Amino acid sequence: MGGKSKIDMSRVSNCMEEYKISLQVGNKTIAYGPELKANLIASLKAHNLSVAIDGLDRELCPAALSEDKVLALLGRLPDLGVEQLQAMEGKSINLAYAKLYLADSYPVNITEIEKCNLEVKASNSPFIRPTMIVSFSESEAIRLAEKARAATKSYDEKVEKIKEMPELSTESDGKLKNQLKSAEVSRFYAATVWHRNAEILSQDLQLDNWENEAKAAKEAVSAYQVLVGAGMPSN
Amino acid sequence: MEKESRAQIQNSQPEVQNGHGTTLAPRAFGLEASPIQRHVDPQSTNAQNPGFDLERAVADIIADGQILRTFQQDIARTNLRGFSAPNQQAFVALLNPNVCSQFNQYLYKALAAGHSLPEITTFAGAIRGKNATWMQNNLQLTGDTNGNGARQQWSFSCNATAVEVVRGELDPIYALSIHTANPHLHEVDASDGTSRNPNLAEEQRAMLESPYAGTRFGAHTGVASDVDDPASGAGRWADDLLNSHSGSTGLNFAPQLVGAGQDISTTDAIKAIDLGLSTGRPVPIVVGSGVGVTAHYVVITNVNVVAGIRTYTIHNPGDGRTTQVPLQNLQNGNMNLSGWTTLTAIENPSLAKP
Repeated sequence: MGGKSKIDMSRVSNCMEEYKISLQVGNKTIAYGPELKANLIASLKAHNLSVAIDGLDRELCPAALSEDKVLALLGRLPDLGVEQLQAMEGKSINLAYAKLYLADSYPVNITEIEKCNLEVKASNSPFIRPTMIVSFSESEAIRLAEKARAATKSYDEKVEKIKEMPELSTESDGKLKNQLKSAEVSRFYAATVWHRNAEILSQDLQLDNWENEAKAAKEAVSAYQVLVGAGMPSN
Repeated sequence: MEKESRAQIQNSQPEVQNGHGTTLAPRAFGLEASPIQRHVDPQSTNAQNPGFDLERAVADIIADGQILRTFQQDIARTNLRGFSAPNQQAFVALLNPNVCSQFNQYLYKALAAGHSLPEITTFAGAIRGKNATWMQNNLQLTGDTNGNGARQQWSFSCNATAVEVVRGELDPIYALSIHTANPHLHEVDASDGTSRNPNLAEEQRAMLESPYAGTRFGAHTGVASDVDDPASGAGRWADDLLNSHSGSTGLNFAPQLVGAGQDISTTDAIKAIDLGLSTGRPVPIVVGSGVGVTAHYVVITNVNVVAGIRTYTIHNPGDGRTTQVPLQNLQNGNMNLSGWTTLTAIENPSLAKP
């Protein structure tokens, strides 16, 4: 699993200060400094709470970030090559970017993150979205893809069941509509996790037998796509 | 219909009647002004050009309540007074003899939005001769003849799109510029926010990803991500973005959380919405799945009584559609705006200080 206790946060903070790098967790920006770790962990907890959906397994919520994985990436930061660090200079790293694989829904082990590299593309945005160059765990990808596929099917059935309820069009308080929205978002998120893991198996790990599954999962993402909502801070 | 050419208007100088039956004095004047006439007091200009009646020109600015919003009437009048005398006359010379024409209402609206005479002159040239359908489809960002309008190009840019919508409701020159640069503004590429409407997407991204500068909420910023990848993005409040355009909208906006235990009750929020709409102020609201869930910005642009039911016109950046929502659904948390049901916050509009 690697060890977050081994991470020298003052070294991480110094590296971030040298290259004027900050971190973005949801809609919070975290700067370097002595409070880096405390601020980061508090922001991760608040973020994960804000993106959680009642009843949805954390592994099926691609927006929920793993504290251990984030800390492992930070621990790696000072040891990245100068070119990688310079490419991030003056910017904020969007930790939720899908290809950073810092959510529990991705098949990346912490020991791999501790030796990863980052590929950074230039952007007008104040945020950078680095792609993590890392080895994936095949067994984890299969487990997550199968779990997400089953969940997608299950949430799809739930959505259809609610849609068939005659009270949906006659209710006066929107309760069923809210249940429907929650089920639709859960279905979309599960399909997203299914697709990303199937794609990793098909493309990154080049397992031919996952090619059709990746296509089917992509179609599910497209079909089930809904507006998730902004989750703006309440204070 | 807006068929008359500018040359015809300038040459004909007809006597016409406004909508209240008042006969108006001829007020077609040449656009060219001598250097001596620039920057002079309007009163002295009247003496030099006895045919021009500033007070009449100001009084002619009457809001129809649909195109020129009621609250914009006084702003347009003030802005006309603020023009130099030659520019006042040049502005009036642009107008259609039919005082109540949509063409004039849009010119008054551009005036209210604080545009300069050259900008309004160019705008007048762009819209002269266009019919009502064209104007509806190009001079605002909601409710075109197919019920479409501006759409968010990113997963969390409903906030920025709401700002664009408010600006578009109040500033036709801005609305036309957005339409011109984004012919498909009600569409989106879910997998690549930059591909379908690059101009709109970049404007939304810049707003979404700017640091929040308001005072109601703590420091935060949004993050743009493709519509099919919401997990990589984040949302943002928009009161500071709305207020950064007070100079053109004439409005300030104050965010208030709505519902039991929040800043104001749902009943009071609806009263505030009604008060705003009564003078034509668009009201951005936030909807969610219940009290405390601030998920999605939409904009209320109007209210009417339809078949005896008070009904709100709401533009939803989520699907780019402008729809009608009965009062009861607003009151009871039973809307369906991209699946969100409940009014959870409003951006309460008030007149900006000049």
